[in-house]
Amino acid sequence: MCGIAGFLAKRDGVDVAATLTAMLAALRGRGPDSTGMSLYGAPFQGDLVASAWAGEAGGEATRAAVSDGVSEAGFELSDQRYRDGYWRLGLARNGGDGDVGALADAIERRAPGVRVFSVGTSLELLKHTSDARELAERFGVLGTTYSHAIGHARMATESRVDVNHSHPFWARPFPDVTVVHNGHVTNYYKNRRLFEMRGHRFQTGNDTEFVAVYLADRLAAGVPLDEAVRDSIDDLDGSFTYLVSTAEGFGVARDRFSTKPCLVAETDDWVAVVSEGIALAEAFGDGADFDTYELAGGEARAWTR
Amino acid sequence: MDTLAPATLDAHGLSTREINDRLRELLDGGAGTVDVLHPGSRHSLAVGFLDHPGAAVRFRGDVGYFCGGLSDGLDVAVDGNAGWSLGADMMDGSILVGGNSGSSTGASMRGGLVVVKGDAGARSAIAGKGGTLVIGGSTGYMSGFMNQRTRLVVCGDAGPGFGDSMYEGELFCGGRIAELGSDTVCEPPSGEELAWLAELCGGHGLAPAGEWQKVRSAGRLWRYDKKEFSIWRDAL
Repeated sequence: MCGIAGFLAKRDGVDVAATLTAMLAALRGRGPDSTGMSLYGAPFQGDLVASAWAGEAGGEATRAAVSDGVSEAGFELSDQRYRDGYWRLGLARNGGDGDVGALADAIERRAPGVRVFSVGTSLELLKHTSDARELAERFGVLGTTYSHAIGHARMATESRVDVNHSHPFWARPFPDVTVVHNGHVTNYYKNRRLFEMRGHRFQTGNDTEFVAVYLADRLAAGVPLDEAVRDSIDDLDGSFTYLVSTAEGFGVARDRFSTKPCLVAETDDWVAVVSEGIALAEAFGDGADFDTYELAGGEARAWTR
Repeated sequence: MDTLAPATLDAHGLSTREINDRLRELLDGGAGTVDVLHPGSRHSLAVGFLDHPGAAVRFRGDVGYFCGGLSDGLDVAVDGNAGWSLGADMMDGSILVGGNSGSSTGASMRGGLVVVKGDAGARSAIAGKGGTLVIGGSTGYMSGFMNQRTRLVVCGDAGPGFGDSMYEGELFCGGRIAELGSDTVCEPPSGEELAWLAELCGGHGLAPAGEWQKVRSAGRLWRYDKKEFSIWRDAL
């Protein structure tokens, strides 16, 4: 199962946080184990923003160690805030080369048990074993202005139920790229080895992490988002509907066999992609006036702000 | 309640079970038609209604998965869209959807009539065992797969694998067929079939995108000696 949702505001004033939260709450039946969100566009201090999970590694007591890791990687802390297990870090490059992979490695080395879930120019990633409304409330998501977001309600089938294995997955070390996924990619292990031979180090055994890195690698090579998601239909085997997000927008792809659901709704003001219509009804009310359609098997699309 | 009296059910805030229980109560009490307000895309609405032939239920909005499935003789109308497995395993009655429907529309349906005025997703009429499914727009991948006796009518385009490995039954497409499924034959419909299509579709305000084509099983995979590999090769 699992439920996925994405929401992109085409103009200012559209409440991305409340909409995504409502959609994910409605999809809880598809994924009762955990909830996660990649939220883009909120203001922060510095050049980059990072989310790091310290909830199983000493919590706020890791402050100094996290700070040491940032310094070791040649970054400067512009802001360091702790909330319920998460560090939200504003980072300045401080004249360095800005290697976010080295940054994440340094934080995790200096603060054992802390997991860097995301680094980006506009991305904040939050995931927890709570439901969507509790997650949004716990981390102050509601009331914050975002440009777009993707989210996930997880039913664990491939790895354990915990925060680390929850979606979204950041395409570490590529800034801003995250993925949520419903389904199973069956050729990920083989393809993952090709990345490992190039020196890439994966953080989990989850197929979705591979999808994120595979897509980010393509994007970093200059492939446009819409082309990257379209090509993935040929490159990925298995059953999948996934959403990938960057700082500029998001894309969606569905496998040729149409084994996992995907509804798209679009107006002049926003785009929504969801696993089920019940998510749209929850977010916009029953009988709201917009058209929806099911993404065809083998179809991929992308939207940017 | 008077026989065949209309009734209204506001589903706002009710669970699927509560909605279906209230529907049964209203129909058992003699309501001939029930208007359901705020269905909210909930799954499994009007599923398994076996004792109310001729009664009508109208959902004023979108419904989720399995709507009208396993029912026998109920007439269901949906003003909005429907999710996956609309009318799955229904035995008799009708379902009329004003918008689009998801994948597996009419899966394993045994009888009755399902009409979707918009598009349907993949696998429409998969393993259909009877009845008629009409899609006003287009349908997706593998529609009619392993169909046994359902008549599937698609006014628009059909995705790849149309009619793959079907047994009996008939598929009609008024648009472009992306790719025929294995072991199928595509031919012009007979005059009698064209008249039936015109009456059926016209009655719902639907028309084919182009010339009707009929797809049926070629039957090469029905019977064969397991050593006849050439049949496998030709048919698949």
